[in-house]
Formats: sequence, C-alpha cells, structure tokens
Amino acid sequence: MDQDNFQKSLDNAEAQMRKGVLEFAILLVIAKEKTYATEIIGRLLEARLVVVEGTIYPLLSRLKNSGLLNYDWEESKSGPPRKYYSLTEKGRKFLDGCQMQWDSLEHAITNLKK
Amino acid sequence: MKKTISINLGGQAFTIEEEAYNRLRNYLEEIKKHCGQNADADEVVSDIELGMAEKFKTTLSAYKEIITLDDVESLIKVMGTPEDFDREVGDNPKVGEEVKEDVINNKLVKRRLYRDVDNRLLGGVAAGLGAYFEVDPLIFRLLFFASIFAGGFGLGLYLLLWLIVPAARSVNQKLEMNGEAPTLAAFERFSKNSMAWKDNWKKRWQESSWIKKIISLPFLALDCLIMVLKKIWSKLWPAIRFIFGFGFICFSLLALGIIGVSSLYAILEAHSVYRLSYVPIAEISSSLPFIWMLLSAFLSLAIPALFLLFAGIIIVSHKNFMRFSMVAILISLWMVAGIACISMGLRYGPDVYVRVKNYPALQLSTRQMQVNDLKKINVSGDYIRLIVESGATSSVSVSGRNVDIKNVDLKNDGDTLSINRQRVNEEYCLSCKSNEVTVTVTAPDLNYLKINGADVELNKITSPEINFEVSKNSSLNISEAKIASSTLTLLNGSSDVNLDGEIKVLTVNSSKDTSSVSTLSALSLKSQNIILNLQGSPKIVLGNPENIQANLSNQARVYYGGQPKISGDLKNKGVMHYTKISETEYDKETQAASEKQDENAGEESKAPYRLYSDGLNYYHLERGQLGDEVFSEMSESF
Repeated sequence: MDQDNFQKSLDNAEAQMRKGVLEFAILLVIAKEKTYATEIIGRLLEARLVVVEGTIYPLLSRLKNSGLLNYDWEESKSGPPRKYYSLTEKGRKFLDGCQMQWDSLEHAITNLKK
Repeated sequence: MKKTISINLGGQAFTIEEEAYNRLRNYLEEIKKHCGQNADADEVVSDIELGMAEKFKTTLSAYKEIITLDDVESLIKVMGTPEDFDREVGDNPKVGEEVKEDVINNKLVKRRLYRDVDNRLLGGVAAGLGAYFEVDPLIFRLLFFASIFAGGFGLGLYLLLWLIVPAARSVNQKLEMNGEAPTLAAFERFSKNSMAWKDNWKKRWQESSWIKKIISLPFLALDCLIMVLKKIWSKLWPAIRFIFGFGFICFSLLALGIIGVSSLYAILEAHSVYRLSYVPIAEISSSLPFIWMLLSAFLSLAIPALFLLFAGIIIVSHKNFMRFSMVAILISLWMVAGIACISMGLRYGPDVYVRVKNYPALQLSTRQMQVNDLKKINVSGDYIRLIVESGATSSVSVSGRNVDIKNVDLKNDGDTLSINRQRVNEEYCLSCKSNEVTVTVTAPDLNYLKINGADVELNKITSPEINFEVSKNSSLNISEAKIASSTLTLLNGSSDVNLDGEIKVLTVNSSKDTSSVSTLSALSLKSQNIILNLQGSPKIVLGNPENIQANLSNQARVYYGGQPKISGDLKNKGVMHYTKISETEYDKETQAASEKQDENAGEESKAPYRLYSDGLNYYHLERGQLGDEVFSEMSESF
C-alpha cells in the first residue's frame, strides 16, 4: 500500500512538472519555425514530453485564445489542409519571459542540488 | 460483410465501417464533453479531427480503402482519452466522478433482446434472456431443460428463439443487450472483452461455480467438437473448392470444344453426303433457316457452358470478374436463343423428321438377280447376312436400305456367285451407321460356300455334298440339314459355326494359323463319321457321333459326348500335346453339353467325356472320375 502511494505521489510530481513546461515547450517548437500540430506532436513525442497526441490540441487552442499564437491555413500535398502556427508578438514576449523564468528556475535547482 | 458509412472528417471523405464510425463518434463526443469547460471546444474537436484525418490518410491505400474498428482503436490509443489529457495537462482533476456519472446515465438506455454469444452454452438464448431481464441465465437454462420433459415445448421454443433473436456481435449490440449507453468507457470495456473463443471459455470456466461447471461441461465438449469440425472443414474447404472449380473448368472447356467443333462441322459439311449422315443436310434443309437454327442451338448450349467456365474460374481464382451487364446480356441472349431454338424445333422438327424418314437412300427395298445353276457362293464383308434356303431353282434377292444395298457388289460368273460388301468411307461421317443387308439365295446344286466375315444361315438344305471355307469373324449356322458329306475348313479368325441336323461324314480342317480360334458346336448333329484334322487353336464340341478320327495338334480342343469309337492319326504325335483346361471351364462346358443332351429326349443321356491327348494315347475321363488327384497325377505324367 505504502509503495502504491509513493508511486502515485511520484507520478503526480512528474505530471505537475510536465504540465508546467508543456506550454513552454510548444512555444519553443513554434518559435523555431512556422509549423503544424502533427509536427509539434512529433517533436514533443521525441522529447518524451507527451505520451498521447490528443493532449496538444486543447493546449494549442488555449494558447491561441490567449493571443500567443496565430495560424494560417496551408495546403498539404497529402490529406487535409493544415493549420500552420506561428508566434504573435505577444507570444514572443511570453516566450522570452518563460525563458528567463526557466533559467532562474534551473539556476535555483542547480544551486540547491550542490 | 459489414456495413460502411461515408463520413466527412476534417473536410476529407472517408469510408468507414459502421462499428468503427460509432466508436469514433463516441470518442469525439467524449472529447467535446470534456473540453466543455474550456473555451473553444468545437475548435479543439475540429483540430483533432484534422489530425485524425491526416493520420487516416497515411494508413489508407488503394488496397485498403476502408477504415476499420481496429484502425480507430489504434488511433484512439495514439491520441489518448480525455482522462489522459487531464493527467498530462491537468485542467480537470475530478476524473473518477465523471466516470461514475456515466455509469448512472447508462441505466437510462432501453434494453434489447439479443443472444449473448459471449456467455453462451448452446446458442446464447438463455444468456441473452438473462441479460435482458437482469437475472442469472441459469434460471432460463433450467426452465428450458425442464420443459424438454414437458412435451418438448421448451426445445421448440429454444430453437425458435435461436432462429429469430439476433446474436449480439458488435459492441453496440452488446451494449444494447446490457442496456448500457454507448459511452467511451463502455466501448473500451467491451473491446477488451471480445476475446478468442478459447479464452472466453477459459475465463468463464474459472469464474463459474462448481454447479455451473457441471452444467456447462457437456456444452463445452459439444462446442469443442464443433470447433474441431469447423477447423477441419476450413482446411478441407479450399481443396474441395479447387477440385470443384477445376472440374467445372475442364468439363466446360470440353463441352465448349465439342459444341464448337460440331457446329463448325455442321456448317462446313452440310452439303456433303457422307459427312454428317447418309442424308445430305443441305438438301433436307433447303427450305429451312438452317444457319439460324444452328446459331440458336449453338448459343443455347454454349452460353451455359460459358457460365460454367466462369463459375469454375471464379471458384478457383477467388475473384469475381463478372459484371452485372455482362451477365444480363449473356442471360438474355441465352433466353432468346433458347426460345428461338425450341420454337424452330417445334415448327420444323416434324417436317425434317418426315423428310429424313422418306429420304430415298434410307428406304428399304429388294433387288432380284437372275442366276442359273448356282453351285458356288463367295460371300465377304461385314453387315451382310446370307440366307440359303431350299428351292427348286436358283434365285438371288437382296434386301436392305438403299444406301446399304448400293454398297453390295453381286457378281455372277458362270456357276459362281460373289457377294461382296464394300466398306463406305465412313471415317469422317458423324452419324452414318451401316445396316445389315440380307441376301436370300436358293440353290439346289450348291456345293461350295466360302465365307469371309459374313453371317450365313443354311435352312433345311438337302444335298449330297457341300463344302465350307470359313475365315475372319464369320458366323455359320446350319439347321435341319440333310447332307451326305461335308468338309468344313476353318481358316484364320474367330468364327462361330453351329451345325444341326444330319451330316453323315463331316470333315473338319483347321489351319495352323495361331490366330485361328474358331468354335464349332455340333452337339445335336447326327453324324456317322467325324474326321478332325485340327491345327491352330479351335474348339470343337461334338454331340454323339459314331466314329471320331482325330488328328490334333497345337492347342486344339475337342469335347464330345456319347461313346464313339475313337481313332487317331498318330503321325502327328510329335506335335500333339495335352492342353490343360481349367476345372471351371471344363464344368461349364460339360454342363452345357449335358443339358443339351437332356433336352434330346429318348437318347441315352450320359455325361460327356473329355478327350485329350498327350500324343501317345487318348484318355477319356468320365465326369465323376475326374477328381483333382487323378487330374494332377496325369498332368505330372506328361
């Protein structure tokens, strides 16, 4: 039972951390170049930040509604047209802020680990 | 076969199985419900639809055009459930409560009666009823079982329900059977539930109580047996199918070949006389639509053969290449041809029949020939029958079909009559058939008859001397004769000679030719002296002569009855040898001989003897004496 609880807490902590950085990660991917959902998912799967692909869609929608992202429709050779996301000015500023926060967080953790 | 639906997913058209569609719809609704709290639920769903459409596009190809339940399941696994979203993004921590709500909602859905094939013992009727009424199926099982003894009513009802009630096979049906709403959670539970037949039984076996185990044991055994039979059948079926298909193909090709060749033949050779028949078709059919009749007959026979060929190819290749239009055209063509063929047949058939029947070449006629002082007759050829009758003057008449008579060559040269039947060149004639021609002769002074392949009868002939020479596969029947002296020469071939009446002195010669296997039967012939000079392998059966002088060699066999005086020319002793005749043959022949003798009432009927010679002595054995020991002893001594 104790073991179970421990595992649960660990999973929870991991999930919390992941959640915190997921939006940041999406913005980082989009900041590099204009891109679409499947490709973003691919990058995040590679980085093992998400397990299931569906997670990304509500997040993208929320970021867009917050005015951090913008999208254009673009034709694709195979299949339906794609939504290509790009950062807005606000999004770029938000990403810069995130970057600074991450750096300081990392700094703090590194210091604590010493 | 499954029903498919066309859907629009992310602006793309897809064809999807109904079951897969339901699953997908439920999934998307679940997501929409989940995102209800978020801002743009519709946008998220349409984004997800777009993503799914893109993924489906990559899985489909020219060989796989339809999205199946498996495709949807695996994609949902990749996309994740709303619960997964929550775990990863964490907007809605109250996962457990939502599921409970679903369960409460489930109860509102109306149940339907299905056969529960997952929990079946026999047909799943009782299990289905149990699910419908929410009670243990055991109750229904016991009721059904008990009512078998109450006049078999339950059995009938069971079978009826088995027939009428559909089985719950798809997840939707299973949910309906249990009265559950088609929610994502329910779907998942059931898709995990659909197990292999073996695992299903195993699981149920482990879960059930001992009493249920006992009840289900015979059904389990029955199920196993059925499964084994199904497996065997599924192994055998391809072979059986192949054999049938191959048989169809071979048979139909053969039939088409025959139909085609004979039609072609009929067209090309219609005008010649001896190709199709003795009757020239063209002449008979000059007033008929011959080509049309032939065409309609050809089509009405060839089209079914063609269908059989297609059926065979389809069975073997497993591919249906028949188009509806093609089938429709062929069938209508066949019907038109068949109707035309039948109606033309009814219209012209009797007419043609009468014409053929009255065709001059096929009419019977009799031809007379003037002859004087006929002494010798040579007759040769098949299908010819010569009847020699007693009469005061010489006469010859020939009767038969005109076409047959035409081929009989009659030649009168002095006192000799030659009868010769030419063989018609019938090699390529489809339905030509020679009939017998009968030649009737009266010749008071006849003394020589040479027979080569013909059938000859001599009726009530009285003569001082007639000599015969028989060769090829001829037949000579002499009945009620009164002949003082006669020499019969058997040449090559297997001719059949029957002598009846009286011939005082009969000399039989046979040629040395090994192919001479003729038979002479003279069981009831009255005779004083019979002289046998036999070579080759003829078989002679004699009745009750007074004297026999026998010079036998090679394989000649002689059977005789009565108690004649026997002498032999021993000059040939070097080549004469004993021929072993099998016991059965001996019995058969002696029996036939003794029966024949019994018929001749008044005559002393004794069992016939068998004469055989080792070249030194003649032995005659009485039937009773011929024990196996004697026989073998004698065989050894030779």
